[in-house]
Amino acid sequence: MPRSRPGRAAEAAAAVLLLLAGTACGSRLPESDFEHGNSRTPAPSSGTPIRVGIITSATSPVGGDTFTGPRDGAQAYFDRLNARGGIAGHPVQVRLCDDGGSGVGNNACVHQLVDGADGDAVVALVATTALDYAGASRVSHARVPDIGGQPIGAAYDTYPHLYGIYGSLAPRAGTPGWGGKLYGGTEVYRYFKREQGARTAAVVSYNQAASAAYARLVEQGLKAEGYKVVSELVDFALPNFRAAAADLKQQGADLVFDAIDTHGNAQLCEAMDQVGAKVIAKVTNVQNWTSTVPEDYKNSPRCRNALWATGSSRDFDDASQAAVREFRDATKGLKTHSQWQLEGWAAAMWFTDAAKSCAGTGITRACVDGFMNRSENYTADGLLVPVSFERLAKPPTTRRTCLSVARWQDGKGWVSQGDMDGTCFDVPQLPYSP
Amino acid sequence: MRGTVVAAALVLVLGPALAACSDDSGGGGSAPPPTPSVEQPTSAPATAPADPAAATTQIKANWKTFFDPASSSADKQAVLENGEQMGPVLKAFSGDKRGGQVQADVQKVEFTAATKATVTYSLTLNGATALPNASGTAVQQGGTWKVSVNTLCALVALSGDASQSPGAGC
Repeated sequence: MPRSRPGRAAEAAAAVLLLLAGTACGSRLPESDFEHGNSRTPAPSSGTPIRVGIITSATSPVGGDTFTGPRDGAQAYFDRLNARGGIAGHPVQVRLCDDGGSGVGNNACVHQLVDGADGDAVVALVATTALDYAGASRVSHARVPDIGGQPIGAAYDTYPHLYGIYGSLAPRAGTPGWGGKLYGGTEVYRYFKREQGARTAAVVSYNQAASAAYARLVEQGLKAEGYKVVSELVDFALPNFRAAAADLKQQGADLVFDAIDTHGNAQLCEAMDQVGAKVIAKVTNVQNWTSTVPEDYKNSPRCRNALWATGSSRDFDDASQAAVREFRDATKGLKTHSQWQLEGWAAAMWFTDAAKSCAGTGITRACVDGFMNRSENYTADGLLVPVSFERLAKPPTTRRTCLSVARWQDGKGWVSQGDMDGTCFDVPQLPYSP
Repeated sequence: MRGTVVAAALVLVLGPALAACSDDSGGGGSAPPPTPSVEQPTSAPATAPADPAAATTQIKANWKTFFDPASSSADKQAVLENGEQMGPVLKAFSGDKRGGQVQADVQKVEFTAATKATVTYSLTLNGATALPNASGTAVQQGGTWKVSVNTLCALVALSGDASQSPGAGC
């Protein structure tokens, strides 16, 4: 039974749009600490290197730390792999490319890595995290498998040979989704209703197009699940978060969802603490599922401890899981940790599993692509909700979807709420435009 | 001061140039591609210019020039990668009345190669910070450290408008 979550694309895309309006919070590790770190240690494995490319918007106007998590997780995986002998004796050689957050830079990265301008074309791309994946069609055309990328745009629901980290049900023959429409489920809302008894949900958004569009999507899902929805519209130019917080308190909101940026969220949380708004959960997504919560929400202890994150991969803070412990051991050197790092780690593992299956016949683009195309309920050693690529001719109307849930608790970090493989719901699939 | 206030305005400022900045057509344009930033993990190329202090000073000065409303188009083109081909984008970026109010302050320069650096900067609009933690790249071209095409194109695309029309430069 396919159980990945196609709706993540919308979430990621919207979150990125919102980031564009936002400001950066917290102190982060400078780029250089990653770029020249332990990834350069020579590999003990000695065969012909297997080249993979990682395209990341490592620099971008929204901040140098925004999109680097998947890259760092993937690099950590390959470093460890090489230290253990690589793939059938071949070390994995990683080619990084920073597209600068621009389409033109992305196309240049694709040209460099796919066409191999310097005679060193890659076998596959891994953990692509690009603000504007303008080169996606070119990657697909060249039949280079793109493995475990973050679906920030609709590319992973559009093109063959692209395999997003959450899978896809769409035909992927060149058109986004089905006739341009993508579909997402209501599992997040079902979860909080069924497991936490929530009935009233507030959705906070800006009076701005991208924010409003995402808020509508959330409200549509909440209504489909029978919630009373409280819409809190905040002025983009002069946001009065205190008024929004007071109103959502008065209306008895159990949950708070948002379509605003990180900086706005910090202000919203402060306002909620100031007016004494108590909610079951302040719900956020994978992009904010990071170890930087104490800095990002430093002035709002109560709201901070009501933060819940939902996603499709196992909580990076859950050391009770052996696969998570391996990730944490290998990323000890990183100053911050995040769910996106863990997903990059899983993407690298996915490529490695594909390459290993090809070791006998030759680790070629075509062989790796064939493995990826056959992927069925892939979990990366239990780190991912099972992922498949289905190519359904028609969009699904309902789907059984599993959910990874964690909540923040000071002193404990992100605490898993139940097991993601058992937190599954049959939910309706709602259309939206990418 | 709220960052979002100015960010909103900044998005509006940058909007007009958007159409020129999303090439999904697969190449074929006349302008040379920007410097790709592929790194070579196994070899050990120079990771900084011979005189990093001088290069840092020049990068800071040239970024200031590029984002200074008082700079002429020629001055800006001189400190922009492939500046001579970037006229239309630059015109749209700088031509808007409010565009002239955007300024950049470089906080940190980190060299990643002899001819390349990561630049952390803040963008302000009318003196208020709009993007406090922006990150871009500087490239050395013809002996001069310049704002990269990637950096300008990413800024221009920030408007959030999903226009797909390809244009010259970006």
